[in-house]
Amino acid sequence: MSYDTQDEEFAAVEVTHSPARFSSIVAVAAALLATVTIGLVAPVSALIGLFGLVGVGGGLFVFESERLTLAGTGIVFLGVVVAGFFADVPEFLLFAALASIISFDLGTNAFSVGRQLSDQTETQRGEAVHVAATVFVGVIAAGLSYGIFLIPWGALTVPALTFLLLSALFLLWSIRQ
Amino acid sequence: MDLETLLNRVLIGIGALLFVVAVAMIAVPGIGSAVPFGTPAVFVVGIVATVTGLGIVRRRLRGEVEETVTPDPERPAGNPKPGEDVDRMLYEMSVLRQGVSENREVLEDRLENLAIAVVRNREDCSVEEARRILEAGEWTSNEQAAGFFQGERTAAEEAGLSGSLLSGTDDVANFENQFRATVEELIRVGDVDVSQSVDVEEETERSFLDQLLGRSGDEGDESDAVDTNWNVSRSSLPTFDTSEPFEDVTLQHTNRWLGVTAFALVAVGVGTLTFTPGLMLAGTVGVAYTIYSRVSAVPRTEGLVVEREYDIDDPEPGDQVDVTLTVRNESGSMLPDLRLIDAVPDEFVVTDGCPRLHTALQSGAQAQIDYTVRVERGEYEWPLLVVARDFSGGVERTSLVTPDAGMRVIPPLRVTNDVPVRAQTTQYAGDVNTKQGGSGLEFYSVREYRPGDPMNRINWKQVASTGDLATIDFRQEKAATVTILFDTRQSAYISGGTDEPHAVDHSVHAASDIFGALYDQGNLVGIAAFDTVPCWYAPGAGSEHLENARMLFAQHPALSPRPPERQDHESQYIDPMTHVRRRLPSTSQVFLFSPLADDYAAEVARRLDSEGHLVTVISPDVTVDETVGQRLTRIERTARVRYLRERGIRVLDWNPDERLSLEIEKAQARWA
Repeated sequence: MSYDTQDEEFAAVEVTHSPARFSSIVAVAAALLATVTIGLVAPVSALIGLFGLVGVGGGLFVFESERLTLAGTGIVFLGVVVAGFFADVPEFLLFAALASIISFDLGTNAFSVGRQLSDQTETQRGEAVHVAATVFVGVIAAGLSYGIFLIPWGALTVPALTFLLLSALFLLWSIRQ
Repeated sequence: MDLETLLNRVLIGIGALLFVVAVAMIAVPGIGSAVPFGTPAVFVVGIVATVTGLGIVRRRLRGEVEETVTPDPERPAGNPKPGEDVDRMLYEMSVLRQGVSENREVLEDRLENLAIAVVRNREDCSVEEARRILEAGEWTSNEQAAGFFQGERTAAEEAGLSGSLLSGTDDVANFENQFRATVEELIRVGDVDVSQSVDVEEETERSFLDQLLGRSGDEGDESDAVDTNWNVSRSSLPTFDTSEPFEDVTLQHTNRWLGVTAFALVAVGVGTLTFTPGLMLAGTVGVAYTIYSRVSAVPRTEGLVVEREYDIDDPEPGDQVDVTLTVRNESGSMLPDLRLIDAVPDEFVVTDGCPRLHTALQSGAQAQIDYTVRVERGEYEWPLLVVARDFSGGVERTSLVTPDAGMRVIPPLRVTNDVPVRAQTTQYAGDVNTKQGGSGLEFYSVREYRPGDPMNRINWKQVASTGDLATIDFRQEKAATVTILFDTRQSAYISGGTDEPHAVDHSVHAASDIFGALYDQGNLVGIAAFDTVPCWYAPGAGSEHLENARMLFAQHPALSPRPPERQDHESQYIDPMTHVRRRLPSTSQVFLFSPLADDYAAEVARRLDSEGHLVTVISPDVTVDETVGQRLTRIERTARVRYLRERGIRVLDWNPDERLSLEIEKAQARWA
């Protein structure tokens, strides 16, 4: 029974923990989409977006650093905010914001799956369900708010809307536990 | 009322206030401009929102995500390499600058003892003479090495030494260089077999750093691959031993959505400040995801049904077993995010496939995991680690599900080849040739007839020619009593490489072959080990004895593939000299299996031998020769082997890459 561990067949399989591939690709695609969208509105902001996009891609595929990826999505979103500053095109801004949040979620999920499982693991199904759920929620939410946005609310001024949104946030925070 | 509830109430209060203001603004369109400081107030709210958002971004970047850390059960368990202690001491001294004087003393002592052994062996002289040669520096022409032992015993030197220790760093570097030079010189003088072309200087630091970082010493592009694994120490789970079929470990908020609120706050804040409705609209998506992350449902993993099947029912150590794991969701609801890891025991290694899966299971659906493990002796039952999350991933529930599928791996005690026992005389008939004449097969002598000699042994030819009666004696063959004794102390759990079995595994594998062979030759064979747990199985014979021995190899904690420091049982030191010696039959031979990692093992062999037991040491050589510490341990081991051989003890210096049966044949030629 003296077995030879040098033998390929008896050696342990390799285990690596890179970010999950499918989620990573979708995350980068979403960041790219956000960057292109704001580029159409305000080319200046696309430069910022591009910077963030490099961070997302580099964080996921080159340096495997979650912090870099997070910073990348943050910068892409900063691009969206800057774009809003230059050109107030609600549809594009809404879409770009949605894409950058999706990129944020999938980027972090890619790291989480990579850490808890491994590159050698079959993860497509689990990842796909997560991607689908996130995109679904985002699209429904964006659709709803855009619908409400389109209704001519005479009295719904910017300050009123601010207070409304913020009150919603505070109430949400309170139900956290 | 604790802080949490207070905070909640404050949040609700602020939210309600903001809501009332918003409703008032919508209901009475003029109110915004009517209220004094209306516009500034809105501005302040915008600024606060933006700043809070940025604060959340900062918190997120600091990384406060909480999730279960999972083990890497595929990889082999990490056992120390021989000589790691020396490398660690050198590393502590030269890099960390810790324990300089203590470590230095230990290393000096160790090297001196070794040098004395080497010089004694070469010069064939007494210890005092060897010490004199060392101190005079006559043992080598290398000045640096010769200087290591010279005059260090003088009081002035001691004082100078401690003075220079305080003064600086160069001293440590000097010591290290001298230490390395001395080790190299001892290799040369002692004629120890090592590969010569190792750049010792660089090698040590790199490989030790790699070890500290848990990296493999291979090529750079594989540096992020996981090297070794102990399930418990690499994961956040306290234990994988469960008696329950289902056990919850943790239920926690992952905080993975922490930061998503920032998208909402910054967009709404900046939108307010710049009066950009588009940005506020964009902020609503952030609000929506905040809601999504708060809506959570605990995944009902208790409804998972797990079954595990093996393709071999009674595997033997070293076998590759195909494992098929089926997971079925019978909880009645969907499990959207399942991360499954089969917590393969530390003793096993996955050689093909992957014992993990990431999937989502509808109610009633099932998934399958296939992989192949190399198994090791023992009795095992292991759980499936289930990390389940809800849709958003906000809640994570970690549980252990143990299917009713134990595995028992028992060595076969196969007869592979003959094992030479040493000549001796006992009362049982058997295979061992003795120096006694009697009944047997091989011709021994012819002697005068004594009344009562059996007729079939009378030398009729002589009777016919001379008329005198004479009797032929044959060489008597007797059975030997053999005790297989294992050195299974913590220090024996060393291995030459990550994926290599440790010395105890090598020993037990070899011993289970040898046990079968000895038994087959008709000897009485017993088993003992010196370890923290007493292990004694008296020499005996019979098929029941053989079966019990198999079970013992498989199940006894002292022979376990898991080192004592990682076992649960209460440990206490047991001295083999009292524990084994008291029970050892006076006529028993001893086969001692030990990597000879320290002097104690050699001392055990010597003492048993001096008490009249015939000792054969079978020592798997797991030493390597990359770093200075590893090279040092190799010389030390070689010195021990020579020490034992000098005293007439048979030592089989066994390189585990070679088949033991071949080595035994070679050794037999030498011993004969």
